[in-house]
Amino acid sequence: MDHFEKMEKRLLNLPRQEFRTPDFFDINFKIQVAKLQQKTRRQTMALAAAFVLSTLAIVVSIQLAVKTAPAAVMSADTPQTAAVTAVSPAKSGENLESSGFEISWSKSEDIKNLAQAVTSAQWQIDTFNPITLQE
Amino acid sequence: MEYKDSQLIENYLGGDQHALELLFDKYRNVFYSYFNRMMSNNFSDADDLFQELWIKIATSLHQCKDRDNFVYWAFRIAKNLGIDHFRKQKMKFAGNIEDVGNVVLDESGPVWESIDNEILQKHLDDFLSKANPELKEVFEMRRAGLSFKEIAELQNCSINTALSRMRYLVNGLKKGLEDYYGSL
Repeated sequence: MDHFEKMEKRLLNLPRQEFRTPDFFDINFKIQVAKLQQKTRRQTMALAAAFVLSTLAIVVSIQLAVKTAPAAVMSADTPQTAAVTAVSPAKSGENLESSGFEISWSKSEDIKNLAQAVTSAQWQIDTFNPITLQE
Repeated sequence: MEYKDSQLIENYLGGDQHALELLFDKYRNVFYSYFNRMMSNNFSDADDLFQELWIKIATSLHQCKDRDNFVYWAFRIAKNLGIDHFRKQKMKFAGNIEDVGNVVLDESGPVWESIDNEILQKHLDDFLSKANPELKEVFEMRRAGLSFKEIAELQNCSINTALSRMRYLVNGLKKGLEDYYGSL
C-alpha cells in the first residue's frame, strides 16, 4: 500500500459525524403523498388517453356516417326508399364494415336514428371538448 | 442483523414498508453528509434535498437495476438533485475539471499517523469547505465506498481525473497541516 493509499484510508476511516437527519416518519408521509400523486397522475393519463381514443372513434364514425348519410336521409323521405336502400347501402356498408362498424340500412327508420345519433355525437364532442371545458 | 441492499429493495418492492426504513437508517448519514458538504453546511437546503432524495428513491426503486449497488444508483439521483438545485439558484455546481491537474504526492513524513482523529477531522472539514464541489464529491463518494471508476462515471470524467482530485485533496490537506503545525 503506497503513501497515498494509506493517507486516503486514514481519511476515509475517520469517524463519520452523526447528523440529526430529518425524521423517517416525516419523509415517509411525503413518500406516501408522492406515491398517491403518481397513482393519480397515471389514472388521469389513462382517462385522458381513453377520452382521446373515444373522441377519435366518434369523429371517425361521424365522418363515415356523413359520407353516406345525405343520400340515405334524402331517400327516407321519398317513396323510393326501398329501391335506394337496396342499392346505396351495399356501397356504404362496405366502407363501414371495413372500419369495424355494422349498421343495418334496410329501413328508413334506421337512417333517421343514425342522423339523430350523429347530431347527438356532435353535441357530445362540443360539450366535452377540452377547450370548451377549460373555458 | 445486517441485510443486503438487494434484499431490502426486494422486500420493499414486495410491499414491506419497514425495508425502506432499514435502507434509510443504513444510508441516511452517507447522503445527509453528502448534501451538507455540497451545500456548504446550509442545513435547510440539505434537509430539503435529502427528503427529496428519499422520496425519489421510494417512488422509483423499481428502476434500480443493479440492486447490489444501490449506493451508486442513489448517488446518481443525489447528484442530479444537487445540479437541479444549483441550476435553480443559478449557481455553478461543478467547477472546472482542468483545475486539478495531475498532482504528485509528496511522500515525505508520516504526518497523518501522529495526528489525532478529531484534529484531522477539523482540518479536513476546513479544507473541504474551501474546496471545489468535485473534490467534496469525490471525498463523500469514496467514503460511501464507491470506486474511482464509478465516481468517474458519475462525474463524467476520466478515472485519472477522479483519482487526481482525491490526490489533490490528500496532498492539499497534508500541506495545510504542515503549514499549521510547522514541521511535524
